[in-house]
Amino acid sequence: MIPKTKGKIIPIEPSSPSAAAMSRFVRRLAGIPWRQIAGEASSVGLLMAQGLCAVHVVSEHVLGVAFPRGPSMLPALNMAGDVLLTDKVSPRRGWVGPGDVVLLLSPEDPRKIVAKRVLGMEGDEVTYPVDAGNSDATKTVVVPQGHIWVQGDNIYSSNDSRQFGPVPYGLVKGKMSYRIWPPSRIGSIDSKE
Amino acid sequence: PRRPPRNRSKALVASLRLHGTEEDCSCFCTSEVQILPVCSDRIVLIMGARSQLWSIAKMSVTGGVIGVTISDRYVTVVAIKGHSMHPTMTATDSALRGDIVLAEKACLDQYKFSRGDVILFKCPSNHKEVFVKRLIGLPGEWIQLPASSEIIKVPQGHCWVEGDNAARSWDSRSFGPIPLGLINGRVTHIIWPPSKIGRVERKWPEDRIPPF
Repeated sequence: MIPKTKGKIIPIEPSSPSAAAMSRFVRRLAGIPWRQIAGEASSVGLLMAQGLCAVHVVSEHVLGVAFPRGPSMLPALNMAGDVLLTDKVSPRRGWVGPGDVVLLLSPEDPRKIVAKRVLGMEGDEVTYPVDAGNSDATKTVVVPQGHIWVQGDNIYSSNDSRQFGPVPYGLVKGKMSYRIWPPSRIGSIDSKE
Repeated sequence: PRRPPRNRSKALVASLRLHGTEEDCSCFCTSEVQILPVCSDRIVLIMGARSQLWSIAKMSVTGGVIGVTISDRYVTVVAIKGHSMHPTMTATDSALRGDIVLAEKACLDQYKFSRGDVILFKCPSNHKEVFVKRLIGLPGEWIQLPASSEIIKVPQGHCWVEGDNAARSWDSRSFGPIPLGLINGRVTHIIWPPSKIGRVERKWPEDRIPPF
């Protein structure tokens, strides 16, 4: 309540309840240990950053997880719902050979990761059906140096080296051999059950 | 000097093992060091050295993990070998005197590049080697081969790369267009030698017709 005196406004002393509450609030703010909170927050943040970096290093360079979808690797992999362990060490060391199921960046779109089976390494001769389902014609190619030939197990529904040719080995990102989900099929991808 | 009583030195050793940090050891021992001379000094030395080694090991593992993550996802440092990008980047036979460049990895998120970028990529015929060349053709563009008057189309998901030093460059003119998935990063700056420090600009070679 401001008393009127000929148009001038005289500030009142902080004896009114709202102003007293205001100064109590400011005092309480000053009492909070901001420095200690900031110190704890930054150490927790640093710990979280270290944890995320460790997760990145492990999943990129040691062992990762993949969720393949699509019909191109039936019956070895389901159309959806499978969870596979991805070995990231083997491709870097060159421990990939014919018969392995690998994850690779698609040569048609590098943002897509595809799972296919390796049929031939560099120098191998690969014989493949040119038009599965319609004709029995096959063709034989020699895989060039540094490249691999990949094909989906389900040749009737797979976009693979028969369409985009042999792919450079540098596109291989991981090797998959174990399934960890669904529980009924836990184990090696190629287990005979 | 009188010999310390046996049970007292055992208690000291037991509590030193419990603490395990250098500060605890030293402040525990200073009050006792006059009473138990040689025995406690040796224990302080062993505990101090072991905990220091442990903290050095922890720090180096953490630093290594953070360094690998930054180098994989954000920015990395590469030394240039080979003469295919002369004069933009030069190399000599010893890695110490060749150019050192900074390469960024943010471009690998969406694989969006521009014509004239200098990129790092894995050699298509040997995945262990990394090349540095300039991007000349993006996916879907038509490229004129410099030697003949052939015109070819760069397939989807691929790119055409050529070195600045055309005479000494093994590039797409020999091994064809490369899949974008082989790209490791884009070179943005030269950081060594000091006379060449600066940005690596997006440049179009003078004698080529730009695609449109």
